[in-house]
Amino acid sequence: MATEKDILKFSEQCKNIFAQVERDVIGQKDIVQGTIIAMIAGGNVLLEGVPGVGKTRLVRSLGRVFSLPFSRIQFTPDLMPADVTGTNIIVKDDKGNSAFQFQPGPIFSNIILADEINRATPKTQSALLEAMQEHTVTVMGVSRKLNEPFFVLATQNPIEQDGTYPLPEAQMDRFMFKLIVKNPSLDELMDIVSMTQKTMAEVAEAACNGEDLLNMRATANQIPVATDVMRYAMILCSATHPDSECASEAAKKYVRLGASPRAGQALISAAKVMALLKGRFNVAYRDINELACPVLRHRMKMNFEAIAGRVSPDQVIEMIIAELVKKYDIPQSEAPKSVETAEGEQASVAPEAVVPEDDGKKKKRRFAKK
Amino acid sequence: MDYGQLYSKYYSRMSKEGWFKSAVFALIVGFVVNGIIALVTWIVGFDMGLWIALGGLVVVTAAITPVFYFRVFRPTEKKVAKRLDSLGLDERIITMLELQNDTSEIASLQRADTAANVEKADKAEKQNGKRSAFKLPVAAVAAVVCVGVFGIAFSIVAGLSGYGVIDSGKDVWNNAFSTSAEYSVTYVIHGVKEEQEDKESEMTKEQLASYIAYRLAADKSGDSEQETPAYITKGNAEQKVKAGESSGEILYTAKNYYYFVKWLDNYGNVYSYKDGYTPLRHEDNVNYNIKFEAYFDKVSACDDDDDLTRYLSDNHNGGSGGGSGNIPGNINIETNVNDNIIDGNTKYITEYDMYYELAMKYLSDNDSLSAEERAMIETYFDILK
Repeated sequence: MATEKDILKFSEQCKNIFAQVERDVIGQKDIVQGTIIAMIAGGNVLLEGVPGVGKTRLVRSLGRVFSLPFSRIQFTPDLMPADVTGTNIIVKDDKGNSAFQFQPGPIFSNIILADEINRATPKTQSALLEAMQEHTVTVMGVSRKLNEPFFVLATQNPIEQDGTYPLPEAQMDRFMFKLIVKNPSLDELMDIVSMTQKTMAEVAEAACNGEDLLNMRATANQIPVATDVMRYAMILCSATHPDSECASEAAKKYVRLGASPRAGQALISAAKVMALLKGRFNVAYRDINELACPVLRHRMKMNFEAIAGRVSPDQVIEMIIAELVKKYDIPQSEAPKSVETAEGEQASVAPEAVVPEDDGKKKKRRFAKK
Repeated sequence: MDYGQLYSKYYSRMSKEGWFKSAVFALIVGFVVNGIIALVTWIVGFDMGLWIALGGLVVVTAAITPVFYFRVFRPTEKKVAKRLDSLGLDERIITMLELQNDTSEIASLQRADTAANVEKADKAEKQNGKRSAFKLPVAAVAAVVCVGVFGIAFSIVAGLSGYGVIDSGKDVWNNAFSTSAEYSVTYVIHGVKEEQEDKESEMTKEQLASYIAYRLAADKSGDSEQETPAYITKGNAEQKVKAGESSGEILYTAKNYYYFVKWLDNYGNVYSYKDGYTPLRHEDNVNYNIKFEAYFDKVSACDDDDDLTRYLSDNHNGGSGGGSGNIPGNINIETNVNDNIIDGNTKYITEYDMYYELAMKYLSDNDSLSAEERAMIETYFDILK
């Protein structure tokens, strides 16, 4: 059971983690926070953004801050599953006898950066499925456990879609969050260039280790969730289904397939971490509302009307939240408003079209949207 | 202020709010009952409908208010907790309520965190001012207004009907839609107690001449009918008319030395000869009972014929004392008297020849008249020359 000491340690470690990551990654506070929340909650993250916004650097920093081995897998169309999981190779022992020896693949690490995951074939993509969900790899009938904590941070490029393989629903569902990485603001760009002109080296130091991360996860899991809040989270997930008993009007109009039960699990797990990060010992409605977009946006399949009307998943999620807040008299949350307009899907294809916010006085969003 | 004090404060506030909302919803029901009672009593024509409707409003509202409160609006611990959480406590209170029996360290930490934040929330609420607790849904307000208008309106109608200011629903229905509604139209001569004999139909000229002679003879013989200033020569004095229809014509003919002055109905309306009204009238579109009194005046005694002429001119023709100018001799005076002609339109003097012939024929055929009566008739018609 979590103690006060664990809570204090959690708070202190979180402060250190953020402080260290900020040394390497300029801006992108929403992405950093989302990624760290997912790591602590035991989930995986899918980052979508144009090249050069700091995705790889973020993952490398996290590896250093958590003192965890980090490996990068560059997904290409010719990448084979064995290149990810490893394979048995024939080796000769001292006596000259041949035997199979398992050669572990890059997946046998703690933090995996699966770069441009949508460029690999579905067969290769599915090699990650078992690892992401069960933290095991099965090769030639032999299951091997992966190191804990295990965290996959996948990236995909929203602009070069030719010759890519969109991730299947089953795999998308394995990601706790999908975070949209925007272009840095002007001030952030200035800071990035100023820093990298001096040195490209990463300077973040270790703030905790893998065991600490597991302890943090266990501590966060102890945070209580009121029955009403839990029910609200489940209603939110159920409301994304057009044919469920809690279906919202927005879902009936725009959604073909809603979020799976994994979304509910992810929502609660992440909300607990978020509550603790805010110094609270219980999950609130606004935690659920703030995490709704990153948890649900990649788990919902839009129908033709949404695609034709360029209604994005984030807009549908906000419509659903607005309906539920009104219906169940939920206190208004501070959930960020979507910046998407009619572009919707198109905005995700060309995110550079989104004008970065230059006004430093504006409240930073926790999780960037398309 | 600790959680217990804050809880008590908000429980008290929500309890008052609950009673207020209960009273409003009970008022909706009360007004519905009030309106229905008022409507029913108005329709059946019950005089005390207003008071019964008002009593129903009070009784129903008083009886249903506690029902609404205890069944719907009474604050529970959970409701109070939700209200407290809305002060910016981020569901700390409802979580604390669920963990009240949990002895784990995290539960204790949560309770401590809640207590610390309760103080902040209380201070923030004091700085921001009291929140309005007595909020009602727009639909409830609209419902109260609508049923209130319904109830009050019908109560007023029931009250007015009970006090006889307006008709009851039953009467309105009978008056407006009943096909067998009939009204009586009555004509009488002012000052005459006995009703005149009805005339079934319009008399022919021969009958008219006979009737005139008969009447003249009756006057001379001192019959009680000699006190009647006029008599019906056309139509019925008592008529039953269906709603919306017209009555039959009636014509009063003045006797000698009497002249028509006016009609007066039982609603105080005056129809004077000076305004062009004549002893011949009928009523159109009868929708209520009505009675008309015909006023006839007797010519006053005058010193001479000149006085008589002036008198008649002043009182009968509506003009100045000169009337129609110098009237030489008795003939003219009596001619003026007899200008109060039979049907009100025809100049009697122009019909003299016809009536004279009729009168003469009557005289020649009727041997029962006395010489005196004969002389009177002959004299009467001679006056017209």
